[in-house]
Amino acid sequence: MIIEGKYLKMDGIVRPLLRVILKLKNTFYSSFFLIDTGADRTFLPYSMISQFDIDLKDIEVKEDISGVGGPAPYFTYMTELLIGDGEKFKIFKGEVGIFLDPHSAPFPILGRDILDNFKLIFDREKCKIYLLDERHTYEIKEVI
Amino acid sequence: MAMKYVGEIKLDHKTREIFELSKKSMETFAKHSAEIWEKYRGRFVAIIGDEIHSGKTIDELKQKLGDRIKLAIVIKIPYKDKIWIL
Repeated sequence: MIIEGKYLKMDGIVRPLLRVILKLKNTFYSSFFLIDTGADRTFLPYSMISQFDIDLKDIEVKEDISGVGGPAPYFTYMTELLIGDGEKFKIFKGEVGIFLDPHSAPFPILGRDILDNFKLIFDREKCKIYLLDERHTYEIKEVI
Repeated sequence: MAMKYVGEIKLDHKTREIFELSKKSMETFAKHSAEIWEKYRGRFVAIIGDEIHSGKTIDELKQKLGDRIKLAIVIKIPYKDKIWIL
């Protein structure tokens, strides 16, 4: 399976995004995730709490993550994410973090808990991003 | 806390439609990105296919769009350009 991401320009900066299907309360939705190879785990932004009516009752607030901006409060949420090429989709199941600070992340973040299941190719020159599963590989050739 | 790979599926028709709608939303976002970032600073933007909606808050967008908000790609456009180091 070859899954294509997309570079999108936002406020003058080009960022790598991937379309992902998200299962919340037994219903599927689709969103753009920032492909973040520096993130240990997958996180959803604060805005999704309101967008998808996620119940904050009984959540356990955690602060054991840290980025450049320091610790960020979040809670965990059981979900499924589907990543695919339009025909077949790989299912990832488990807990994502959801930020409780509205300024923590503008987009959902696809971390290495998922990305480590793929070989990643970022080709900024050709504006191409590929995620290859176990059925595909790549070769590096000298062109000069 | 982590996501684990559990298997592979083919999408049913309804879910495939949702995925295809997000492709259209991504195209709309790419096409109008400069305009979105300039026109809607400090606001939430919801993109559904080729529609672009904005609101001061998510709740305002929910009032406008009802349950369709769940089909939207929602982005908070910052007041000022920011470099993301997450």
